[in-house]
Amino acid sequence: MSDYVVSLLVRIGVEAFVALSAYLLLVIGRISFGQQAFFVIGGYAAGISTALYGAPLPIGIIVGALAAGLAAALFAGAMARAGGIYFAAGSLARGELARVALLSFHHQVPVGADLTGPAGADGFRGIRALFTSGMSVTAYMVAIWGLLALTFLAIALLLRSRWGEAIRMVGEDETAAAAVGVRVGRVAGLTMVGAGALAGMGGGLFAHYATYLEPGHADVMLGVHSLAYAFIGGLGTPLGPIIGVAFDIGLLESFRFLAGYRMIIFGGLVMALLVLRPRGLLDEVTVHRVTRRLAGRRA
Amino acid sequence: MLEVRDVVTSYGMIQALKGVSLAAREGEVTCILGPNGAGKTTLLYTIAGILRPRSGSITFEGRELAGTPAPDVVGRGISLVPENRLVFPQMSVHENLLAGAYVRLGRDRARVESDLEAMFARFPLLKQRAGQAAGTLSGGEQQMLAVARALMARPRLLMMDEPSLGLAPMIVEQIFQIVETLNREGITILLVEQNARMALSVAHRAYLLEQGRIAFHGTPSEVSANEAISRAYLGIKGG
Repeated sequence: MSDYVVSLLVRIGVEAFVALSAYLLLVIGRISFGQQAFFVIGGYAAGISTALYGAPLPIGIIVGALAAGLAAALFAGAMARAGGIYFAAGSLARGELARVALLSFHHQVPVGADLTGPAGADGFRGIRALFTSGMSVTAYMVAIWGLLALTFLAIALLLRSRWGEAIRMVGEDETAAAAVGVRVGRVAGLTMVGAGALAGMGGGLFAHYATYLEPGHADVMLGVHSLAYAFIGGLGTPLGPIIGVAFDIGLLESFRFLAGYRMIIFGGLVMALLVLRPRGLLDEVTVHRVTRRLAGRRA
Repeated sequence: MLEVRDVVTSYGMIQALKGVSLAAREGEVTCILGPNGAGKTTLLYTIAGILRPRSGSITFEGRELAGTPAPDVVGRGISLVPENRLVFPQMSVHENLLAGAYVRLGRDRARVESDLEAMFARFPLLKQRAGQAAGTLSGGEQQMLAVARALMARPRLLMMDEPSLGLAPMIVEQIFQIVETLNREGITILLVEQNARMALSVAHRAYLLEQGRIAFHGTPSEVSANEAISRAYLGIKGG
């Protein structure tokens, strides 16, 4: 596999985590423009734990996910009951807050001969745990996709469980969900924490591949794209957002001659889909029909 | 069975209920009439635990209920059919019904299944539509589904918030027939309505809620006998 293909697959894998994060929020009926905040928080936390304090790579990734989950919990504490435009605006502000906060975040400690750690606008260099561990980039890419597959499976199972029922009810109608006895605040809050942790995991995985992070990685376009991925792929299955990422990065990025038109095609596609298939390519109705047909064939 | 005493509920600075007291007796249909913005929905939400009262007490079957979170209220035998029906639009009729049994789904699966069959027998139309997304049903069908969903929790007290809203007169008749049937089967009903004539025809007792306060209460005939009220709510011209 060429380095280029590996790098493409790493990027798709990493962004799929952020897309799944935005997808989970869409399932509970919340539009977030700010999942990139948890992506960078996870990335910084993972990088700090491995590069500054010598944690092994897997521990670093877990620390990143936990830190992002914790940050999401703080946000959820304030925003769990906010809906619609208020939640969307709050999430947008959160993304920018994270970016601006990182611009002034300095935490450097001597590692070997150099100072390492986040240095404000200069970013956070030297996150080298992947390369000192001796793991090849290809193996790392496979590990990312393995984790992604596990995450996908976990979300799919979750959505089929009684908890998943509650999550879907909250997404469809919060008052009705409360009326049948769903603890709406708790369900929404925990889903936000889980979504934050997922974006954080993506951030940690990305940080160790890139070896470098900067506040610019919390650019609002990451959040907007993640949201669009879920809308392109479809809201009926967690496979939707992954397909959305693969389409954008895989197809549009790999056709280099399209480079200048990429955002035009992407934006146009989102618009066309919102008109033709407002709930994405794999929407609930399609998914329902396909699962029924598959079940019918088995029977 | 249900006693509400001096309940105050606020949205921020605005007091929607300014000390409401009422009682719903076991086996009866109690209706609450009142204009838009009187606090009728707020009252039902407060009893259902969706809103918390600022002060006052609510007792159900002798035990305090005020401040109990919604899931526990459902667990104690009170179900709400919300205003505007609020079915889960993308979920199928079947899933909506199961959602109604959400609080006992985990421990009571077998009973839930048999209740589901009973519900389909009671509302054959819902059985025909079982696999269909609830959002594609007509208004009357959605109201039927909303009632059936609330019944799936096996309530002893059923609260209905404007079940006639936006429905054709013929459908409204059907809905009120359902109310009467359920009441005859022993379910206590607390009914909020703007369609005063229909509501009074099935009720044993009526309350008039105006600007967050109970302005009048009595039997349906006492309500009709009150000239000012019947002029305002029943459209009967005073002589």
